[in-house]
Amino acid sequence: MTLKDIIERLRRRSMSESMSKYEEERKRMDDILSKPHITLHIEIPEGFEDMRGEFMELEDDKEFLSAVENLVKKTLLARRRKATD
Amino acid sequence: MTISVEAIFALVFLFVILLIFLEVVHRTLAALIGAFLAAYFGIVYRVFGYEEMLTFIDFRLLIFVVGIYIIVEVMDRAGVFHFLALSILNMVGANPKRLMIIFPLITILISALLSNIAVMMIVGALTMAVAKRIKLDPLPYLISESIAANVGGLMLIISSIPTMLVGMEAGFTFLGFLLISVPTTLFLSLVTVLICLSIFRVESGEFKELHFNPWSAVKDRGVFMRSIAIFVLTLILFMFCDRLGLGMEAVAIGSAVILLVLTNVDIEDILGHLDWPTVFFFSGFFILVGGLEESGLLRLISMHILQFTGGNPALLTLTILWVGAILSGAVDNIPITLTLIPIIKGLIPQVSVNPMVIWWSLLIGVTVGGNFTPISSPPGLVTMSILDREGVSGYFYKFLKMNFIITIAQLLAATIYTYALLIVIG
Repeated sequence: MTLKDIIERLRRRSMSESMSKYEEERKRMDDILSKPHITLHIEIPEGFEDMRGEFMELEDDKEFLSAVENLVKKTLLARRRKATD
Repeated sequence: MTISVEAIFALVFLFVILLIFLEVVHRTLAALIGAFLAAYFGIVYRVFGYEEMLTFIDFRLLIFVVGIYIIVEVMDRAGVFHFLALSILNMVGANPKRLMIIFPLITILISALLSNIAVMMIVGALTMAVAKRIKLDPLPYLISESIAANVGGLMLIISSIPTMLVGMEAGFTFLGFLLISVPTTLFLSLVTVLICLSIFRVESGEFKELHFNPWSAVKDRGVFMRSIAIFVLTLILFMFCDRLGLGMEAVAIGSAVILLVLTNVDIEDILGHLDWPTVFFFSGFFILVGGLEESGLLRLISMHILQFTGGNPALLTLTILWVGAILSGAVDNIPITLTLIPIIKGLIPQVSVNPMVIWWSLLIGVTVGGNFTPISSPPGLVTMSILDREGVSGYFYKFLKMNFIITIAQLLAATIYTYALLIVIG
């Protein structure tokens, strides 16, 4: 058994013991440190089934995402105003 | 050809150390094999009897360790350590150079309570998340944290297995231990941070506010507050337990029970996550070391150490420091500490040195020695796994080189510190 084998064996053991816990910690820290975000689930509206392709492309459509972001801002501003009134 | 009892026990011990070193079997199984062989040869050669053998196991220490494990596990689940790490980071903000000081210090602080593997999970994940957010190379930070994780293990009598072993076996009180551990840890932390800063040469870079809420790491504020309150009470009781006529193990297990009741956590889940392999490792190794002691082998080693050092206090303490460090660099520091304790107990009555200096040279040696290579102790191994998981490659030789340089520098600083300790209290 060479030194390289020993190092590999040690690394494999430490990985199997610790990596699942690390994955949990990493996700937890990412959630805390990243900007708060929400994930929306939007279904294709009724009557637009023939536009499935166009609907799916909206997920990466910059213009559409910008419009959603503006809608979020407007909604939050309205809620803030309502709260201060 | 006849073979002496000492030689048989020496062979058994070397066999077990080889099993641990080569990782042929899990270290706990290696210790249990050692216990079995020591029991067999000890009883067959009438070195000790069965009843006497049972007294080799230090049940007080086992109870103490289990009690501390439970308290720390509950505190970890309550989010105490995450909250602490995040609060410090939130307060100081982030620039690359500042993080090179803050991350090791957070690591040292948390590893004063939590096992160094768990510390690396929390601080390693935090480092990767911050590195991603402000675009940093995580390697220097993770290397310095893996080294700091061992240093923090010197802070309290409950901080690591070697401190618990030496603390209990040498009869330290909680406060008596603290009187030396605080300056020692501060000194070694300062040395570690300064060396890391000079070796890694991180630029100051742009300062960035991170803006996050540390409370988001806490699921239940009630459990969080109760676990901190019980922990503070435990520390106070540790300080006064000798006046109350209690052992530290009674305080530890009593506090653990109160904490379990007050936090209403799932006890099966908590107990299932304790480090039972280490508890069984102790039990096995206690029998092996007890056998070595009864066979007269450890007395023989003590005599040779005395002959080598000529009973010179400075040479003796520095020999223990460096031998403890080198052996812990090669093998896990728990079996090394367990084996060196009875040898040192044999040496103490024969030299005119304050025993505290000898015990501390052992503790510093076995703690710092774990940093010699990335594979010498769990924090280094966990760090390598984190780097692999995060897709960082080609780091091993840099890691090895840095570990070696930093450990040698730490040991030289520890040599001066131990010598100063010898002059002041020796």
